[in-house]
Amino acid sequence: MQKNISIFWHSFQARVFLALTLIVIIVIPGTGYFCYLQARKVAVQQMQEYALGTAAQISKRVESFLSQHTSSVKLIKSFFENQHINHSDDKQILQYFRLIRKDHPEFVNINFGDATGRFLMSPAQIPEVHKLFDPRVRPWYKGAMETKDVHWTNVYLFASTQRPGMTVSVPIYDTKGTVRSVCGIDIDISSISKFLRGIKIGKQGFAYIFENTQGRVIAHPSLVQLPWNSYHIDLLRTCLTNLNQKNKTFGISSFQGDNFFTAYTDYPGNDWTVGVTLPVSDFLENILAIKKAIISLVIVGILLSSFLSYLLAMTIVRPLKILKKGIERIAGGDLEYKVNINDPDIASSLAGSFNQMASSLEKSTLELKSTYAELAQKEKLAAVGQMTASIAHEIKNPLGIILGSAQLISNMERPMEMREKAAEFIMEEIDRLNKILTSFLDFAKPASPNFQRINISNLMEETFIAIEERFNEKGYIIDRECTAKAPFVMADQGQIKEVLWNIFLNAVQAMPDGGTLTIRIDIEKGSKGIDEEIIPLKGVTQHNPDFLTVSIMDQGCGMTNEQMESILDPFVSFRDMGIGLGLSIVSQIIKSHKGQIRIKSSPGKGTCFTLLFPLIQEES
Amino acid sequence: MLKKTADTAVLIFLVIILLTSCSEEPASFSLPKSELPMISFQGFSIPRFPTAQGQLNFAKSGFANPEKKKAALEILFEIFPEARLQCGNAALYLAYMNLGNDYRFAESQNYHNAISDYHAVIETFKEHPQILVKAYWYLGWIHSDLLNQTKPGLSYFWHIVKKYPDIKTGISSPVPWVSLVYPLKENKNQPVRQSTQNKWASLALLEIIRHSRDRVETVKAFDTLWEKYRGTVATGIGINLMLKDKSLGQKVMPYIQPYLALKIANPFLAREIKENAKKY
Repeated sequence: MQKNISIFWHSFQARVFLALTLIVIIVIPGTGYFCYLQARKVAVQQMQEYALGTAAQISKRVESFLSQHTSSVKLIKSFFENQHINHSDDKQILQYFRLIRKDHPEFVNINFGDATGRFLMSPAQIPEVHKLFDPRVRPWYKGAMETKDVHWTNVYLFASTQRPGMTVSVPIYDTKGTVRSVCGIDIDISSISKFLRGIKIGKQGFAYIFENTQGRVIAHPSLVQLPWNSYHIDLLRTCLTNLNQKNKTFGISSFQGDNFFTAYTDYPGNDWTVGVTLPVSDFLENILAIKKAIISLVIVGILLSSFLSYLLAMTIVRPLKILKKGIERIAGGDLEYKVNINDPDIASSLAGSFNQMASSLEKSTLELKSTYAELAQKEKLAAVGQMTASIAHEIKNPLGIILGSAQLISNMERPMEMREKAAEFIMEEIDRLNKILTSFLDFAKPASPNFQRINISNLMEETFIAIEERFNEKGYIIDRECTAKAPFVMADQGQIKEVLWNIFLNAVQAMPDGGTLTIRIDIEKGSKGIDEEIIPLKGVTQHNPDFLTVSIMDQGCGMTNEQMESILDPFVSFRDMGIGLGLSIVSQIIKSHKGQIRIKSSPGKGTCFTLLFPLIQEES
Repeated sequence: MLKKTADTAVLIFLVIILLTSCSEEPASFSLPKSELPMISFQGFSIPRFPTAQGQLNFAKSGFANPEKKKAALEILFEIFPEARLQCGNAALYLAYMNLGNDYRFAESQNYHNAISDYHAVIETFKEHPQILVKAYWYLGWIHSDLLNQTKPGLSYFWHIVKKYPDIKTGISSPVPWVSLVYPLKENKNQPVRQSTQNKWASLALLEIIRHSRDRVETVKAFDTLWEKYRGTVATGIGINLMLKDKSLGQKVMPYIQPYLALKIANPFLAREIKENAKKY
C-alpha cells in the first residue's frame, strides 16, 4: 500500500494534479479572502460615518438641552436686574425659586450667593452642611465672577440627589453695573443619559459623553439605570485607552473576548467627547454571513476543482499511458501493435508518429532477420566447408597410406613380409580413420547428457587409479589434491570422464619427457563471473552460487595468449598429430553442464585447466 | 522535492483557511443583563439591593415623589431589620422628611412631628452613638433655628458637647452608579466623598455661640471650641461671629492670628475675620 502511494506520489499524474490543485487552493481562498476584506473595510468605513453622524446629532441635542438652561438662568438674572425680585429679601427670593422649580423639575437646585457669603438655595440645603457652607468658594460662583457671564461648571455629583449634574451660573449686576450676586441652577444631566438610552445604534450599540480632562463619563444610557454594574465603564475605559494609544478617533478594541467598534468626536463648546461604541458583531453580521458563504464556496470550490484537476491530470496522462503500453508491447516483440488515441490534439499526432515508428521498426526488424538468416546460412556453409576441408585433410593421409599399402599388397612380386606389413598399415590407418570420424561425429552431434548425482572426487579416483602406475613408469607424477568430502554435482558420468581424460591426455602430451601433473578439486564460494544458473531439477533448488572446481595443471610448454584464445575452437591443434576436436568437445560438454572452463597458461611454465560445475543445493 | 512542495501547499491551504475563518472573528455578543428583584411596598415597586447600605443609598437618592422615597426608606426596616446602623440612618432621614421639601416653609406641626420622630430614633437606636448625636443635633437645630426655642435647643447642643465630643458628621457613601461618573476615582467636586474633619460637637458649639444670649455661656462655648476644635472651619466661623458682637469681639482677638496661621479658613472668611478684627 505504502509502495503504491509512494509510486503515485512520484508519478507525473500526481505532479500535474498537485500543480493544478495548488493553483486552485491559492487562487480561490485568496480571492474569497480579498473580497471579505474589501467588504469589511467598506462596512467599517460606513460604520465610522454612521457613528460620527450619530455623535454629531447627539452633540446638537445636548447643545440644545444646555442652551435651554442658559436661557433659564438668564431669565432669573433678568428678574433680579429688573427688580422683579428684591435682592435683599431672602423670603421673596426663595418663593420665586420655588415657583421656578415647579415649572422646571429638571432644576435640581437654584442657588443664590453674594460677596458677603450669603447663600440661599431652593430646596433647602441640609442644615449641617448649610451651617458651614460658603458659596464664594464654589466653582459656579467663582466661574461666573471670573467670566462675568454665563458659566457652566464641570460635571460633579449633587450632594442632595447624588446624581451627576452641572451648574449654570450667571452674575447679577446692579444698576451701576457692579456685580451684586451670582445665581446658579443645578442641572441634572441624567436626562442626557435618558436621551442617549432612547437612541438606537445598531442592535446593541450605545452613545456616551465623557470629559476630556478627567475622563469622567458624564452621560451614558446605563448611568442612572438600575441595576448598575461596572461592565460598561470598564468597556469604555478599555476602548478609550486603546484608541488613545493608537492616537485614533475610531477603531476596534477587544474587551472580555468581544470586539467593539468605537468612534469619538469632539463636542463643540465643551471639552467633552461624544463616543459611540457597538459590538463588531452587530454591524459585521451581514459581512459575517458573506464570509461564511465565501468559506463554504471556497471549500466546495477547492473540492470540485481538486476533482476536476484530477480528471484533467488523468486526461493529460492517459495518452502517455497508452503510449507506454505500446512501447512495452513493441519491446516485447509485438511489432504489429498499434496505439489508438482519439484526442484531437498533440497526443493524437504523437500516437501517429509512434505507430509510424513501430512500422519502421517492424520493417527494419524483418530486413535484419533476413540479413541474419543469409549470414547464418553463409556461416553454416563456411563451417561445412571448413569441416569438409578438415575431414578431407585428416583422411587424405590415411587414404594415401592405405592406397600405397593396397598397391603394395596387390603387387605379388613384393615379398610376403612386406605385403603383411602393408596390410598392418592399412588396418592401422583404417583404425585411425575410424577414430577421426568418431570424433567428428561426437563434435557434430554430441550426445545429450544423462544427468545424475555424482561425486566427481570418486569419479576422478576411478579414472586415474588404473592408469596412474603406467604413467608413473613413463616419468609422470600425478598429484591429486581432493577435498575430503567433495560435494555432489548433477552431471553425466561418462561425459565427465571423457572431459577429464581429454584434458589429462593434453597435459601428458604437453610434457613429452614426463613431469608433475596436479589435479585439485575444490569449492569456490560465490559466483565469480559466472552468471549461469544451475539446471532446474526436481528436488533441487536453483540458485546456488557455489561451484565445484576441478583444476588440472601441467608443467608443459604452455601457450601464448593467441593460442589460448583459439584453443577451444574446433580443428585447432598445436600438435602435429592432433585433429583439434578434443578440447572443443570438452567445451561443449561443460557448456551443456552449465559449467565453465578457465584456462591459465604461460609459455614454458605450464597450463592449468579449471572446470567449474554448479553445486547441488539440498533443500533444507 | 515534490513531497516538500506538497507539504507547502497543504500548509498554505491551512493558513488561508485559518486566516479567512479566524481573523478578527467577532463573536456573537449581547450586553450583560442582570436585574434586581423588585418588591412591591406601600403601593410602589422598589428594587431590592443585595446589601442594606445599597438599599439605603438608593432610598436617599433623588425621588420626584416624596411618598415613594419614604417607602424606599421604610422598606429597610422590613427587609434588613438586623442592619441597625442603616435602619437608624433611614429613621433619621424619615424624621427630617417631616419638615417637607423645604424646612423654611414648613409649618409648626411639621416641626413637632420631626421632634417626635427624632426622639423616637433616640429611643430606638441607643446602641449607635452616631445615630444619637445626629438626632440630638437636629433636635437642637429645630428648637433653636426653626422654633426659636433657644433654651431647649442649647441644652441639646451642650448634651452633644459633653456626651459625643468626637463623632464626625457623617457623609453618605455614594449611590451604586456614582463610580460610573468617576471612573478615574477623581474626588474633585464630589461632596459625598470628601472626608470631613467636622464633628457634631464643633457644630453644636458653633450653634451655641450663634444662639446663646448668655455672654458667659458663649465665651465658654468658644473656649471649648478653641480648646478642642481649633483646626476646624467651625472655629473660624465662631471667631467671625464673636467679632461681630462688640461685647465678645475683644475676647477672641488673641486667637485670630493663631487661627489664620493654621490656614484653614477660606480666603473670603479670612479676609472677613481680618476686616472685623480691625474694629478692635
